[in-house]
Amino acid sequence: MNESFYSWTALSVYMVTGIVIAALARRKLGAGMNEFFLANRQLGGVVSALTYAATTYSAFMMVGLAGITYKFGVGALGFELTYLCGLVLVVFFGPRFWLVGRKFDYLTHAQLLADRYESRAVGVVAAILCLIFLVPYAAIQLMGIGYLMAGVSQGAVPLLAAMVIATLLAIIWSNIAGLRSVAWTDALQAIIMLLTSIITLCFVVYKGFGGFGNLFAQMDRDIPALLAGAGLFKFNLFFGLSLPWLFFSLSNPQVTQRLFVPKSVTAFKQMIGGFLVFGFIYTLVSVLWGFSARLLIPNLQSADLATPSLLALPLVPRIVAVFVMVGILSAAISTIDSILLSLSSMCARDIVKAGFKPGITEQSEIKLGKLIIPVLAVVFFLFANWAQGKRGLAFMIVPLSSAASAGLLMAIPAIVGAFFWKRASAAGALSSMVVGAVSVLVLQFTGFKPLGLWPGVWGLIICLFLYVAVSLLTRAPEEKARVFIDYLREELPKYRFL
Amino acid sequence: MKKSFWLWVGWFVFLLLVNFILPFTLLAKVALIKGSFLFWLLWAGVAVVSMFMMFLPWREGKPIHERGRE
Repeated sequence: MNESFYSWTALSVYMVTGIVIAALARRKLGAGMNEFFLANRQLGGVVSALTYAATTYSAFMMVGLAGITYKFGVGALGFELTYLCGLVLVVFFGPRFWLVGRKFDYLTHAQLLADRYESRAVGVVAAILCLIFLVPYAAIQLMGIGYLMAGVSQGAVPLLAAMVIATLLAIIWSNIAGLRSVAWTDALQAIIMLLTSIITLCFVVYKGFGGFGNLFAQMDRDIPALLAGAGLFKFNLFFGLSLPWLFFSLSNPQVTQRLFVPKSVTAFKQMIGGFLVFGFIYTLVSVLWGFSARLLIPNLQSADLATPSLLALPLVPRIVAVFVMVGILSAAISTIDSILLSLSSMCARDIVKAGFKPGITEQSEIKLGKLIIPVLAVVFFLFANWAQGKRGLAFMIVPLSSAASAGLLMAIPAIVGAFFWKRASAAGALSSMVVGAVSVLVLQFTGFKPLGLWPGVWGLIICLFLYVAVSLLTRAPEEKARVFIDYLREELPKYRFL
Repeated sequence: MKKSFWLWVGWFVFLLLVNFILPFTLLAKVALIKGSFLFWLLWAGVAVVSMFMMFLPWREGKPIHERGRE
């Protein structure tokens, strides 16, 4: 049996299983936008937790985070756990999204903003922001898949072929039954991805080092520079990467959309709790992969090759390596199809319906959303194909992810203010998002870092200032703000929400 | 806003400050696994337990569709 046979057999089984699961999910599919894009707001707790985890954690963890651990050390653990701690925003804001989503029938956070600020322009801009900044983020998933599969299969599955397969599967799975097929496939894949990564870590640690105690002792002895403080992370790099990550759970539409879908409070609690446990374990495993790779294969040309190279070592049985490859592939695809679904719903609802064609029927909206999915997927693919050959920090998976999140961060003041500040105005929200996003783009492309601070940090400072200042100088939608915020004030205690 | 809301906000602001300050100061020269590595694991453990304490008291309200749209 050769490498090519193992790899293609595993891939085929994976593709067929995914399609069967998606087809089963389709049997429950009803009619309407809510049904297709939000599973009719009726997802159970376990599926919600697993789809939340699979959407959030993907190629950037086992490939990107392991890579940045390999290169910069322990700061990668702090950086990723900062994200996990940022889930407290879901504890604060999740119930608010959930309640107003049901009350006002919101499909996306852009729609929430447009309604709350009584401005279609706010919704259109929020949606365009997501479109611009999620392209690199989705492309990263494809790059991760490409690196991983080419490495693990030892070239049997070429990088380009891996990216094409992933793009096609993401299109198919998001189209079959919308969020239902995406969530169901996510759920199974999240379990596979967690179990296989733990099993592989055990193989690496016990066969490569003789146990966890020996691994830690060798880390202390051989790579002390990667353990001191935040490793090789300077404060500005650590802060610049962590800040957008901290707000990830509120700024990314594929994640905020999941705040609308749990069917009950119990399901919501299970989603948060399940994700926290999953995230803690998966982060630790990914970071230990990175450290193990650093000790076992210290001279890699690119840090993003740490995981593929680790899996290609003889101490990991081939069948396990191939299984992990499929697990990571599926996790990455689950992120891409969630982004595709989210962005297509934003295009149809927030840009076309709210912006240009208010009379469009719900059926036409769904058709449009489904048509947009392959178009976006091709854009993701083209970006990934362009970026995968580039070298340097800016083209590593984690910095690229964080740069994308830095742009999405510009919607945070408008989102937070929508729930708490009656004085906030549409002009404040618009100016903060537009100027903030342009600032991030300019700083990102020029590489200019005033005072050493990263684009997301400057963007947030500018964006926050404009949101407050312009809101104070312009007229707020007082009646809508009162209805929206008073509704929450009345409802939150009924569920003992904070 | 309830008092507990602001107490939790304050607690998490404190946790975040610790997260950004401690590894770059007190732990900057501790080049061992029991330095920042252990700190961040314990820190995240405290954050996760805190979040569980925040959301575990949530309970089912009367379903919105039974109350009708207001």
